Amino acid sequence: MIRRNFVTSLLSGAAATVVAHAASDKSLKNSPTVSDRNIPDILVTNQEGKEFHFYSDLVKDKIVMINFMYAQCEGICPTMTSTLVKVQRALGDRVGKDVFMYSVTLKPEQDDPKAFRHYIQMHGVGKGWNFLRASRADTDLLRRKLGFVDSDPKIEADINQHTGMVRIGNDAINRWMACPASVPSDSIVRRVLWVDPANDTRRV
Amino acid sequence: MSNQTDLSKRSFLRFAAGSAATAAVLETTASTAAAAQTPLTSPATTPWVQSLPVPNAVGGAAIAAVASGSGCEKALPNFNGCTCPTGETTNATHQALAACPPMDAYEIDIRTIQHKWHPKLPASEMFGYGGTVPGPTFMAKYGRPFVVRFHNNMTAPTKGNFSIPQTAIHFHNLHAPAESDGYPDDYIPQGTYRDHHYVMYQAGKDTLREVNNTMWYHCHRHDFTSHNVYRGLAGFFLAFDELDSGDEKDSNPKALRLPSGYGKYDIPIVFQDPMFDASGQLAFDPFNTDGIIGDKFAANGAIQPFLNVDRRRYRFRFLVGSVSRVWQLHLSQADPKTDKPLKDLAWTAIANDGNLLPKAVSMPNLLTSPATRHDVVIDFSQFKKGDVLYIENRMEQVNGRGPTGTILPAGSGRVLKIIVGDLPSQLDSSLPVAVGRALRPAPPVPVSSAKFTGTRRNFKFDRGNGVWTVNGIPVDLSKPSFTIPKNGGPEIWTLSGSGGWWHPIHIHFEEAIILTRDGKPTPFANEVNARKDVFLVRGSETIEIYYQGFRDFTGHYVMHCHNTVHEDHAMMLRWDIA
Repeated sequence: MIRRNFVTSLLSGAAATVVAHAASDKSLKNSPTVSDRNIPDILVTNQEGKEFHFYSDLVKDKIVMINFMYAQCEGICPTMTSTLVKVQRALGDRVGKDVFMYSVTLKPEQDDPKAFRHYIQMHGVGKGWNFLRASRADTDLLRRKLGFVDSDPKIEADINQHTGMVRIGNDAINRWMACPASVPSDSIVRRVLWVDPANDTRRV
Repeated sequence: MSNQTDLSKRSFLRFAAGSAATAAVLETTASTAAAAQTPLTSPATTPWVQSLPVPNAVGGAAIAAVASGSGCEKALPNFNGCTCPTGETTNATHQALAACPPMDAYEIDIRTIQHKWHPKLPASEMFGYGGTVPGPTFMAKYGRPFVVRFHNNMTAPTKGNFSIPQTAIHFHNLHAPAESDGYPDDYIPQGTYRDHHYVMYQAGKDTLREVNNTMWYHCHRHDFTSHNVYRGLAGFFLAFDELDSGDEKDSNPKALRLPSGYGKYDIPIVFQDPMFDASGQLAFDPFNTDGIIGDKFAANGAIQPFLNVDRRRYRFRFLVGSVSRVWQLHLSQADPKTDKPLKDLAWTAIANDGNLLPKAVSMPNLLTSPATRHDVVIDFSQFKKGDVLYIENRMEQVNGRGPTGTILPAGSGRVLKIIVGDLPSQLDSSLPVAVGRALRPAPPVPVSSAKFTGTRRNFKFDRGNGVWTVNGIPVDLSKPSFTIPKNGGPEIWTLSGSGGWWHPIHIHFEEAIILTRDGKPTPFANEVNARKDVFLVRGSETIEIYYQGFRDFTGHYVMHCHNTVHEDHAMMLRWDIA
């Protein structure tokens, strides 16, 4: 496990670097960026009942981690969440400041804010990590746009085979990747550091 | 195909499929599978208006040979990490340095550059080894070890939603010590350098049989390989020995005297299928985890170029540098006036994955996939001046899953136009390569699979919960999945697919020979007794491969799918030699 102060030092100053980089590059904003193309600005509600526009409020110019789950899942979700809790702890108080974690429910009909709060308590999820629900149609749209769709219709229709990937990205510099939530948590932490250009000059 | 590829939305689908498509193809493309992919139509480009570029060979302007014929300590200060250099990114000790003192040293500057894929497109922002796309071609000799210092001077991309300005450099599939293999986690941060040492001796020191001649080098940065190779980080690496000496006038009786003269009669060609956004910039989709299928065909970084040839023998070294596309290459003669296909010609194949075959074989077409190399000889003296040939990819593919199963008709998928010209100014000194001509003997495979009593290892390439896996496990570079004893003798490995997905599986370090495909001898003549390092697993197919052993070096290596989108989404496994 990467020590917390190590992670903190690597991330400090990241936000400033990111903003400066994006502002100096006008062509980036004029070209059809992935933000325009891929991440829909759907309406989502978090565990406290607060509403957000997914892209403009939660993703724009930020380093984000996005996964899909549902509270009653007895398949891959508990392990996925427990790994991401370790990631959250390793990133410490950066979560909610420099790095933003989002879990989007695949069963918006069931997972209301209360169900999210229960889930958060049960799994020891810390502050700064938002659990989100959207309409059924918007959930599917978001999932597709983030690339978490199966080209086999049978697998696509089977909720037990839903995605175990975490989308990791830095919207400010348009750097996007994904990794399974089933890899060791410290390797997920490394990937979060990799989308931060402040770390391009070093091995992390 | 018309001369003007005017791409409407519908014609993008047609073009992405390799060319003239049917209504059925359009329906397939519009299915759920493609919906996850960003629909993108590259701007129109006129084919056959630019000549085929050939990358500079080492010694050209891009690379400075800074020492020759002596040790490299003076040329590359702090080489070997012996004094904890300020720049070198690891302190890895080069395990074979004492045994193989370098005779040459090179420095490669890795930069962000502007590259024009077509005269009518604006330049795209690319990365380039040595500042070019493709990178400069290494011309190495067995028995002549060398070192390379790679300087990462790339700047962060300002265009596109992909790539990281860091690179690990894999010399695919050179017999290299682990610390110089371009292991995915051995990446070079921006503004720093890393030294690789290439021993230039054959696996097991089998100087006759374990020679690799046509290789390539490319970025292997963990999780960003598809991004960075697509953005330009790849080049050829050719190695020569007594048989394949690169000299068609060689007086050594052992020399095969294959067509030679780099860039003239011995031409490497990397085939790719890029795509471009509305502004003409190279485009990518990092949100696609199935595979990227582009809508332009390019050779050596140029969209649909032409090549003027003399009426003599040529050697071509084909490499598929695609992210995901599987190709089936045909050599097709066309009517010079109407451009309509006249007839197909068989390939004379001399090597598979850069390794000379036991004998030259005739192939009606070449099934090939990312990272695979095919060397062929074409004798243009059989044609007359003004004759026209095309290299065509007739394999239809519309998504990362694999080909549709349809082979498109002659005249489809034209990649390169060859125009036959005059007789050469100097007589062709190469020896004819008739089908059946002996080339390089294969290492022995002494027993059948059924009687083999050595170590066996089985690998299943699969997908579960949207995650690409090997034996059910996504990549974890922190520890080896298994450790092989150095010089521990032959092994048989089994590679199996599932779910209808095609996976070009690449195993680093040693070459293997295919024993069976689905329990039967391989149906491909150019795979019989051929040493290979990429094994195309077609759907649920099972391939058995035979290794002489894992020889000479220790350390960490990997195997992975060379559909680099699959690779970057965890279809990779670390194994070690100890």
